[in-house]
Amino acid sequence: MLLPKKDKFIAEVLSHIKFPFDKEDIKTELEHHILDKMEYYNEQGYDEEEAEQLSVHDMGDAGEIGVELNKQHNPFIGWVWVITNVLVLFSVCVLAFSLIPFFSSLAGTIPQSNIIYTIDLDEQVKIDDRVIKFTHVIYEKNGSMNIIYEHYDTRLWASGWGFHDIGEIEDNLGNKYWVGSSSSRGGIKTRSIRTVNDFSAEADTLIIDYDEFNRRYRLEINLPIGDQYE
Amino acid sequence: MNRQKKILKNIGILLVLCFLLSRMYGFYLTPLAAHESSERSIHYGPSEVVHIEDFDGGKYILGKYDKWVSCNTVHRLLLFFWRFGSQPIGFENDTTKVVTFTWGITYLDTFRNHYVYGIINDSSIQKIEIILPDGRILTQTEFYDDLFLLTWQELRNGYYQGFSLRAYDSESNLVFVEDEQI
Repeated sequence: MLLPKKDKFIAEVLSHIKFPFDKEDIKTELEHHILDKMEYYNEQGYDEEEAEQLSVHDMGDAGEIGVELNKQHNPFIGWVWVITNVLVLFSVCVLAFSLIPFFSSLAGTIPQSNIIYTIDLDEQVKIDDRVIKFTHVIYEKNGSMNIIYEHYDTRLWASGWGFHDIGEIEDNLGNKYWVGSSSSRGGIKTRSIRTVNDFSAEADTLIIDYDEFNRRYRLEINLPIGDQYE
Repeated sequence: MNRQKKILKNIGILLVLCFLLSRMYGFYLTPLAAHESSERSIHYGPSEVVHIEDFDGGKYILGKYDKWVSCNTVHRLLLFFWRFGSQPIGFENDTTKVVTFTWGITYLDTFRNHYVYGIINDSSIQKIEIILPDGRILTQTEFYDDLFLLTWQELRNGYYQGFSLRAYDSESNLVFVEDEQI
């Protein structure tokens, strides 16, 4: 249905609206008003053209309405609202992206076929504000001993240095293990893995001994040996 | 809810998010806050701050903790914030030596800032001198307690060069000399 007077009226009103994101809502609202009025005049016996003419006339001066609506839909406030919306969305995305590693596991990165044994641990230590929880020890066929641990800062959402130096890695036979690797997946709670190479299959105790700058902890973890593997 | 209230709500949410993000990404409002947090999160210190010195883009923070001496760095970020730099952990003072020292480098755009710091274990020493291969001589006679800090700048892509550190007593006798390769 062509309603040129209605369209002209709305276009005139919208020409005064400076904030573009509100134009569609204003247009819809004006259309509903005019169509409601047209329905009323149709019921009173007026034809379409007359009803349109009267309805647009009842709405008042398009210029005045436009100026008034532009004041109500203040473009400055409108843009501040849009910008803060975008900033909130962006910040939430950054925050969400930062949390992704929190949900990933490191234990699953070692192929099952390489594993001789896995020990579930529930050992927790604390240095300064950092809580370190040792969760698994995984011994591989190639002699790699993997120590899997999680750590987090007890201060609210604090950032800081990583924690790769979990201490000296030793066994009950007196061997010390220096060569290996470590990696982490960050987030509020960081998951890390420390791997030492050529760990003795004869050792029945894994020792983690931390003694740095007047901070100390020591863990002794019993290991299965020989037939206990099965 | 009108638009002004929505904006206020957004600003409230943004303040909370900014706080959380600044904590997560290590933005601090003061250099000392960044330094203290850096030390604590690497499980060192807290050191007694003996001297703070500016360099382009940051500050050196010279300190002592138990038997260790450190020169942590913090960097300015986005005009108002400070972030961790490098070397929060100190070296152990070898009291059998007249002077114990180490060095560090921080990078900034086209420059690198070199710094040499240490501790003087012999009270007769009145002057510390660094001789660079290009002939420049840096000296310090006013110490920070028994600590010293000497700094210089090089082009980022320039060659790494060593230095010679010398210590003199009040009569300008050479008491200590050590050449260091970088």
